[in-house]
Amino acid sequence: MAFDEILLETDQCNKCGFCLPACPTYQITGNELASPRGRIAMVEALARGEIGVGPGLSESLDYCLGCRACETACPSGVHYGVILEAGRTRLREERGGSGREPWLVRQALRQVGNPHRLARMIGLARRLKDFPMPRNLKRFTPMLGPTQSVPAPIQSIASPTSPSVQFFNGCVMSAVFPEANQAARNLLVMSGVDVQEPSNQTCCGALHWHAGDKETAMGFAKRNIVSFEDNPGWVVNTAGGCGAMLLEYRTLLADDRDWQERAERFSARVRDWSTVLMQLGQPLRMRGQRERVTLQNSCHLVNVEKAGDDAVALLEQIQDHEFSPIAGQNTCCGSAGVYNLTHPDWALKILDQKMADVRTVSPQRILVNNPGCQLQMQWGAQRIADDLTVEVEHLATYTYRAAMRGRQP
Amino acid sequence: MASLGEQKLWGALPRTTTGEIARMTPETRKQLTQRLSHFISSDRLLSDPDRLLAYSYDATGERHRPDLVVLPDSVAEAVKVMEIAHAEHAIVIGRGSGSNLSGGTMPVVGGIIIAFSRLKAILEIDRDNRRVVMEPGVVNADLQTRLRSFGFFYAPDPSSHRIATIGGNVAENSGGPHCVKYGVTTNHVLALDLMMADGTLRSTPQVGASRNGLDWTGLLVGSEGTLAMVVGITATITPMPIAIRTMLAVFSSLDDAVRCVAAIVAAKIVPATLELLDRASLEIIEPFVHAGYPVGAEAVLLMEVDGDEVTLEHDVRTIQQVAEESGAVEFRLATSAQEAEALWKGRRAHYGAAARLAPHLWVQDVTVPRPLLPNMMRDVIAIGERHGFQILTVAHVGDGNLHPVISYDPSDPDAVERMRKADHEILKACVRYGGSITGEHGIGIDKVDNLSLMYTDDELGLMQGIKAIWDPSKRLNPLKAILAPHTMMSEPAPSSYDLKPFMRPESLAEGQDLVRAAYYQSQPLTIRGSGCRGSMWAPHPRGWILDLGAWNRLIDFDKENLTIEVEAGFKANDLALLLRDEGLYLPGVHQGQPDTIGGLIAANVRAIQSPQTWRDWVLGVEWIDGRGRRLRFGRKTMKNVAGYDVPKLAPGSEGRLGIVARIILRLRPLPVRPWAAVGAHSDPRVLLEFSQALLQKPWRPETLVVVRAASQDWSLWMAGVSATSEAWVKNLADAYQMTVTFLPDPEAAPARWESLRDEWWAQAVTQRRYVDGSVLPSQLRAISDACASGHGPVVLFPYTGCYEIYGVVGADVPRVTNRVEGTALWRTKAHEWEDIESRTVRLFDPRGLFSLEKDVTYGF
Repeated sequence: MAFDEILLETDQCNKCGFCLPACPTYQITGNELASPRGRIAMVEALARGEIGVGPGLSESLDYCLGCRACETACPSGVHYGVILEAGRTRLREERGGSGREPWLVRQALRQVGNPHRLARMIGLARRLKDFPMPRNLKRFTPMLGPTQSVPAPIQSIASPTSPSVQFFNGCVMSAVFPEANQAARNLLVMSGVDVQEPSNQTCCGALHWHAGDKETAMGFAKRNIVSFEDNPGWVVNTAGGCGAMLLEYRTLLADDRDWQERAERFSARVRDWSTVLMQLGQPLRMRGQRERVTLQNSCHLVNVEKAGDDAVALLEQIQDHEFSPIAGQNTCCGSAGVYNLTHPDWALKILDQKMADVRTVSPQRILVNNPGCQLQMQWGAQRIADDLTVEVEHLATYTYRAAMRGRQP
Repeated sequence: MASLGEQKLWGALPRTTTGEIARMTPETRKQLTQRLSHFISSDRLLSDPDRLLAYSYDATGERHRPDLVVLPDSVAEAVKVMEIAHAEHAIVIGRGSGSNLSGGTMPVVGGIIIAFSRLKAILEIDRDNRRVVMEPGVVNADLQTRLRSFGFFYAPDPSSHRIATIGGNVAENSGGPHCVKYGVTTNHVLALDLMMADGTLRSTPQVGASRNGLDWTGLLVGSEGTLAMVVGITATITPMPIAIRTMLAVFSSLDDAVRCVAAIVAAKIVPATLELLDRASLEIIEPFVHAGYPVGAEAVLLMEVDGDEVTLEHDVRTIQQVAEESGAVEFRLATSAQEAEALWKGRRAHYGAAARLAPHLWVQDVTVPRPLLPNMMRDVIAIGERHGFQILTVAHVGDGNLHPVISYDPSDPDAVERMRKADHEILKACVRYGGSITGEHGIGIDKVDNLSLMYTDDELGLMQGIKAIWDPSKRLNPLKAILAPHTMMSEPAPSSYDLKPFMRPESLAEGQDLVRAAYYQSQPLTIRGSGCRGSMWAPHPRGWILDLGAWNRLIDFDKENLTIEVEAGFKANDLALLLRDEGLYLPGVHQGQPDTIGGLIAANVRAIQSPQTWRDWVLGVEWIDGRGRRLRFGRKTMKNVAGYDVPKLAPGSEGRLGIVARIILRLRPLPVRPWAAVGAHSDPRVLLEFSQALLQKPWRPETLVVVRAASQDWSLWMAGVSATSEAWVKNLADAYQMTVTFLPDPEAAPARWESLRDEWWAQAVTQRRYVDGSVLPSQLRAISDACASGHGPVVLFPYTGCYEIYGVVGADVPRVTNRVEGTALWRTKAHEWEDIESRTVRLFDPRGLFSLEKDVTYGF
């Protein structure tokens, strides 16, 4: 696609401004340059040759979280994500590669393809977090919450007529939060769904794609498509960010004639585990432990997969707990992939606003459905630890415990 | 630094006017950037040409690059910016969220944009006095969310409320679906903190606090940032209704739908919303959102009524019956919040659905008298067909306010050209029907060239003159809202009219002749209606009397539109009777009232019947100014501010702005089940406390005054419109150990009360003893306390905090506006407004024919 073809997309924007209240970075700055409408205007101006690839454009686009809440708010259906990627691609071309990410980000990107190495690194970091380390790394250690034990797998009760799904593990989920994956698998099994796990699957590629490494992302995408092609069932995962990326394989490979259709078929099968549980599973009896809980919904689950309501519906089915939503339940927490590593200043501002919302509800537990959010909210929980003790946990492990409790008479 | 004007941005329309104003020079830009960067951090000061692109647009569709953008963090910072801009002669444009649809914030000739988006503090929510104080960058929806937790709401709710700021709402006088019942922004703003062009701050006197003096708040609302910048807003808030019913009626013809609206009004129901969608809109909305709208119908009405359960049941039944009688083919009542939401979903999707027809949208905004809506809508369709567009129309039908939407491709120059042509024809058509070229979006840059469709050069000249008073160096949002007229103002034609000490012109033309003669002879004139108001202030007028008694014609009575136009000398009593016979009323007039309408407006006489005042009822005014010119502002539509809201200057002007010759008034249907009651308690403070509690309830009665009649006993006069509220009032009164007596003749009671007050006034004029003023509503007890030592009738207005004392009271009564004691007349005046007031008076009346100083001592 020639760059100026992006005008076909930017022309769809009427500049009505309905995206502004949905945008976390506009909310903290009040600056149009840090708003979806402003970013679209900057890409449009670039395409029309009115501005160059310079600090103005990069300031505008770099600070975008990519949470896509603006797309949900947009009455005209503007493809903001496409416009953003087009602008960012031009920026990277001009800068020459992606050499500008901080050390920690480069490390993370290198490791995600290999869950075992990543898991070892995280384990090491968890042990080292109380030791002296450089300040620019130390600030991130609160993200590393306590390790949770992984529940034992449950024996499948599926019959040949049971619905069958294929589980996508995801690298960060399997390395850092393996307990959530196992809990989700167990829940699906308990509700009578046959869960398979295709071998040879790999990282979804989201972090690479959003950091500009399209090559690697496409490589991962093709490998995953092949791995999941044997079985027509839904592709299930527990990370909103991964789910959104898997959905976007159709966009990523749209220009590749050999893969275009296969990508389309694959993306059409992607579902969040909560959606699967609500739609395919037998209803489960679930009981909480009389806690007040709240939800930080994954913005990609909400805005790209459009399945945020399933997480809410699931929580509403659990008895003996108080589900008390925060004001910004569906707005980005500031994690946004590696945003909290690349732009810690803004990420922190967004997080502190989020924690102010949390404080008004004062829950005992914040539930999440994306690993990035889990890290970010753990950081947030640390920041308000002085006056509120709040646990952060994946929705799947919480729900699984509730289902286990529900089994007891 | 280069000048930023040289590079024309894509989408900038060619304009003849922009050449008149020079762009900022690179040196000035550099100088300004340097000075501002001393106190504005770099993330809040945009000067790099690339970054400025992010402020080159609003929702109108054009693009122009500003010279600088500043995002102040406080009003004090904004003031500093303004002072520096003033010193450097720089153009300044205020901006909220940039969601406006008339190009009001577009920097067509560059300049500094002051973006108020960071000033979003709600400073105070005062339940007792039912008002909110806030900064200009507060987003309308955020305010609503905050108020909801207090059980209140802020009535104006433009469709862009999710992002539009209150500052922007004030600048454009925004409306919204609920305006048909609750009124537009100007009906809810009490006072404004203003930052003038030179950076000085001043606050407008609170609306309604004083009867006399010019209504600067009213003038500023809708002035589109061309007179001053709004940096603080005090607005009224309203208790949330108890319940709401949402209905959808489907029609096979447009006329049936509009006839249904008329029939609803005739059935004396005032719905909270009345939205109409046309056939073309229905066809595109349904496949888009599946709201369950009938495809193939010619029109649907989406209606909402609010109130208490009992009233609502009656309203819904009546509306259903009326809709069916008007030819509705289907009627649906939402039985749950979800169903109501589904019905609204279609309406809300209108913009989005239209946006999918072509890359860009143009949303127009015009008003016509409501009965002419079908004609206008048919014209719009025909205009669209002529220019190759399918125009979709949605209307706030209760207000006669249409939004034709044209979808077009901005990259196709031919389509843009056709769109502009179609747009111009729509504007011409609405003016032909007696409407206004804008209802709620403002004139901005978009329609400024079309103002001459509505106004003569004299009228444009007057509005331009107002602009020059406020912004003499022409730096505030130039080329918006109003342009200089094509012709220069000339001296009036000579007149040979024979001036006499007492004159009673027969016609307006004779009046004009007379004024022109007075102009050349510098003969002061004193305008008189019935003489019962002005005689208090000028018992021995120095000017020759100009009696308007012969100007008592009815010009236009549009019952279906709920408007009437009369000449100034029309008797209030006659109007009250005429309206009553038609099942209508105007709270400011009553049977037996001796005044003329012009007199009531000039003196801005309060009404017991309603907390609203003449500013809320006067839709249009025709003046004969001090040059003998006829100047007509406003139209017989609810939303009619194009340019400045000049009619707001008439109430309280006391004849100083020339002769108010004709007036267009907004009417209301008489209530179906009125009630009236008198509450009694020996202690007036209990009555006031009860009133304060009552005013926080959604079922509060519209008539509510605490009165001490001549007998020295205090009582509470109340009149409301629903049987349910009657019962609740009784219950609440029990809690205050107050006795309440319901009157057997609720229709007649308010007029009887008003007549009593007329008597008190007449007596006060004879005895020359009168005091009025206003405090915060919650502080009215200070007035009743002060009155304990005096005697004579007293009226306290718990809605507004105003008070009137027709007798003797000690000197310690707080916040007096007017005091008459024998020959001594004393009046407070806002010192800081003297300059603007005297220049405004001179603009209307350059030789001072009407502004003869009265024998008044002014206190500041």
